[in-house]
Amino acid sequence: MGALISLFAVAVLAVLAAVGASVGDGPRFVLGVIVPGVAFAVFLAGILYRVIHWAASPVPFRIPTTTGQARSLPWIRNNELEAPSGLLGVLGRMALEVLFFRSLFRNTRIELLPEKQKLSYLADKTLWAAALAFHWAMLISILRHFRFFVEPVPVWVDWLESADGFFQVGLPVFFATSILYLVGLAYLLARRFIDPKVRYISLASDYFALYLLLGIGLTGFLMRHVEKVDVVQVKAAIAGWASFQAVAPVGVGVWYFVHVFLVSVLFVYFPFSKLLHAPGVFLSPTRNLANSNRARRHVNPWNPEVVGHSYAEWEEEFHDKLKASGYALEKE
Amino acid sequence: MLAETLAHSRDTILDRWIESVIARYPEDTAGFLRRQADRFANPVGASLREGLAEVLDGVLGGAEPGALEPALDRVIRVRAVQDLSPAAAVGFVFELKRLLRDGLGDAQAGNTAALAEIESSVDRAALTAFEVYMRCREQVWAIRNAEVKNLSVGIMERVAEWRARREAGEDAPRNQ
Amino acid sequence: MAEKSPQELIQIDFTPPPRNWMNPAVDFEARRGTWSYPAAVKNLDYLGMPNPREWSPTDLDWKLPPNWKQIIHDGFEDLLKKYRSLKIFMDICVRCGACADKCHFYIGSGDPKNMPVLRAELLRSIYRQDFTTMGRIFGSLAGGRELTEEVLKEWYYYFFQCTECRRCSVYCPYGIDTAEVTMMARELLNLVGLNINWILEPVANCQRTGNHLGIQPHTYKDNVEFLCDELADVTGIKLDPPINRKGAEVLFVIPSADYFADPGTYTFCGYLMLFEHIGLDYTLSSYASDGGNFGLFNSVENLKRLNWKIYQEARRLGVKWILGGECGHMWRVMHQYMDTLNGPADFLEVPRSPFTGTVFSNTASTKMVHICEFTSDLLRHGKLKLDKSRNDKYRVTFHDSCNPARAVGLLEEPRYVLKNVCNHFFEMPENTIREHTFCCAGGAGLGNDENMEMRLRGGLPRGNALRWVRDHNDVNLMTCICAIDRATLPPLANYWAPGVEIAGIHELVGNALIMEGENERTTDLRGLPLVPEKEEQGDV
Repeated sequence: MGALISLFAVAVLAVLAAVGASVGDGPRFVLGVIVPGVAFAVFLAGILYRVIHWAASPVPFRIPTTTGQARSLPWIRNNELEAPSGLLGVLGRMALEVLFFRSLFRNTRIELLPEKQKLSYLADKTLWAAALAFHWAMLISILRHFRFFVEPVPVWVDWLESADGFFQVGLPVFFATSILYLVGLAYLLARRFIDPKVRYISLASDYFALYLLLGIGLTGFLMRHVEKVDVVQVKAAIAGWASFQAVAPVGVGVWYFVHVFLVSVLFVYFPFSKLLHAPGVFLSPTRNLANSNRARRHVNPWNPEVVGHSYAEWEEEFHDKLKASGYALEKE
Repeated sequence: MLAETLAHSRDTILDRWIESVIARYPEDTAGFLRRQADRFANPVGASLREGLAEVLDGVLGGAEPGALEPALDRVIRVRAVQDLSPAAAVGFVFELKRLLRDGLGDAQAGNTAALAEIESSVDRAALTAFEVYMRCREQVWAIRNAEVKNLSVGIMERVAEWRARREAGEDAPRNQ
Repeated sequence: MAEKSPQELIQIDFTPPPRNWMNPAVDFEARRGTWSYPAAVKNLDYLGMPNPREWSPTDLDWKLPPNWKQIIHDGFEDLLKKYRSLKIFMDICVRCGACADKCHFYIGSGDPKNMPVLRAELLRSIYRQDFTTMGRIFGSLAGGRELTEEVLKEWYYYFFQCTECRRCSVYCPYGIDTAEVTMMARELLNLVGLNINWILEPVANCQRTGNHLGIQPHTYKDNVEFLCDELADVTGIKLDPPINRKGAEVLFVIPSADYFADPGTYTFCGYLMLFEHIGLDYTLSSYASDGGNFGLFNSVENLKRLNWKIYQEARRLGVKWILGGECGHMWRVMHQYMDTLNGPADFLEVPRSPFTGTVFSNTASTKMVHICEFTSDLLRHGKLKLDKSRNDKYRVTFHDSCNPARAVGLLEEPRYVLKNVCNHFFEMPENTIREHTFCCAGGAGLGNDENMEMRLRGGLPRGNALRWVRDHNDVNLMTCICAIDRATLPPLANYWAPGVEIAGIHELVGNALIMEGENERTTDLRGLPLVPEKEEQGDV
């Protein structure tokens, strides 16, 4: 149900953009200039707001999840990346988590059931592999887009593109990341349908984000490989936008507008949704804190004002019994 | 003849039997029980696969009634503490009759006597299953009772005895 | 009543839940054995907590305060202001499902709401509806739902079905910790008087007497003397451990179960023998007579109150540092909470072992050392005289208790001690130990008898791994470093892997220690023969 509603929503958005782009210069101006501009502003402001909102609440306790041996005695080998004792270890742990999705890689299978042994060991890592493929591909694709934003094209973009198009297949060359992006996303979507567990927990918003990203990827792919859009025109359109000399893009097709519109929707949606996991992972207290609890004191700004039952009260309450059993007392 | 046909379709019958048990779980859980291949990550699935295979082989091989007990225990021990009615917890055994008939198909005709023999061994297995179930439930209650005592009384009774002896001026070792 | 065919009977009771998890409905009557009794009035009264009353989860009317919705809403807002963790964990879950099959309760019960992600969604759905833009606008499409009494009942059911073991947080790509979510939910439930007696009674007891079991100081002393007397029968040496002694170097803090119930009592004897053997200048305290802290399972205020006495007593007795016994959640408190809540402990000194000279710099601020750290240091320096063969009748495995493993990172020390005091040690399968360890299913206040069905379900993954080493390595003893384990694992083993006993590590240390002037040992600390009689095996 949620999957259908979301599909419908994304389709409507795409059609809206396509129709708008076909009716005239006015809507093209809105879709090509105003909407992306506003969306990008919302995106930046929204994320900034959210991160400030998060940071406004303190971290009252240091609660890292230790996933390896802590630093204790000098002759016991500690695992700095799994139970970091200091900043370096934390940076390493976060890097592994953010760059390589360390925790998703933890599914270890030891003793397989007899008839399941033919399953490859890697089969258990598909979620990790697909997630990693999609996220890295997205990052590289975004970086590749700098070709459109910066003039002259920075040299690292050229490097990135030649590495990405290493296989030299097709004309224009297919980027490995385009394929990884689409395949990765397709898998992430498919498992929400196929795996009953994941289907059960999935919300409409989970599908929405996936459809949106797929829509963006597909329209981009179509523009490059099917429509073979005029890159110079696209660049002119974007350059005008980026330098605030707003003119309605000319000479680019409908796909461009759909692509840009879906990206705009994503921008606006991002700071209000689970996509916040991107900035959020950096603030997760079970991962970004050192397990140095007993070595360095962590301060809680709102430490509760309560105190316990004092020794004096306790001694008074049990005075006779204490005395009868021969305890040394503070007050006789 | 009958035995041969059944031996031939043993794997199919077993798969269907396991599936019929798994299918009674909520959909998402059933998926997990089916797919998770690691025996330690999926102990319920493991107990079903191993237990049911052993029971089926026992039934087909004409095992003594008592011999099926460990295998049935493997399955029912889990089901006895899950959210299942007693009928649901042991009823899966009866399911086997239908599956055996299905597995035989046309071969049923002319083998009525032999089939009846196998079916009655399924019935015996069902009775054993019921006994195993009751034993597991009784064990749960026994554990619970022992727990009440251990958690609320601990060593206090022994300490009280010891204290009484101390007050009576005895100093003999207790452990005799 | 209509006749039912066997087919129909089989299908009764276990129909899949409604497709949408958002419809809350828990039938408490039908699910007896899987929930815990509510807190008694006297305990809430004693602690000054809200809405004390007689009630049962099976009642239709839970006697909530009339403005309960507002109370929960305000409480939620307050928690969001206090805990960044809560904000983050509410906002960033992507429902990838990596945690879904990692919970022992889900694995054993198959109840979908025991998947960590859904357990958190029970709270998250309310958060979305009440505190996020998307939830306000799109409602259930954005995963929001209305807070109703049914939802509250569901919270009571499922947040007292989480043992705060943190296994799910190991696999979460964002480190979302269901233990933290459960703690927040329980804080909210407290506000309207929904809490369980197995937590609140120990808390009230501990506040009053200093320990969860409500043992008063004269009884405490008797228990200790009694255990020393029993120990003297085994070793021939009568120990006289100091209690409330001022000027000792070390205050020794333990979970109260260690001097209250078997098999913890044998671990207790092991500690005392060790201290006697090395001549440690220490004291016990009948005021700080429990390191365990069920406040952790209830509210941060109660957590702080109960923990407060530890430093207070250390100060009063004038000790230099604190040593802590084998206990799981106690060590989560000591490691992650004590210093923050009740520190700084600037009146203590950085712990230094008087026997090896080792300075425990990893505890430089909290000044509290884990007994396994202490003992493994002694072993490393060859300070203990041991006869490992006294544990030869045991084929030993080690259960990593959740908190020492996933909150402290104490993995190698207990193994080092074990390998030094016994000859036959076997690990359980790799994905069930260390940071992957499976919970005993009785932690976080759920280890009561009325919840036994749930405990046995949740205990299946651990029991299954234990059964494996029992069958493959003839393991007959599972050791652990947690008092709750020592109480909850015996029934678990009894049901899932009969024939395996449970012991603390220092019980085995006690068995192996060669004490000066001891009698020749014929029995272990349990009073059982060191070499089991093998009459049945006459055919060798």
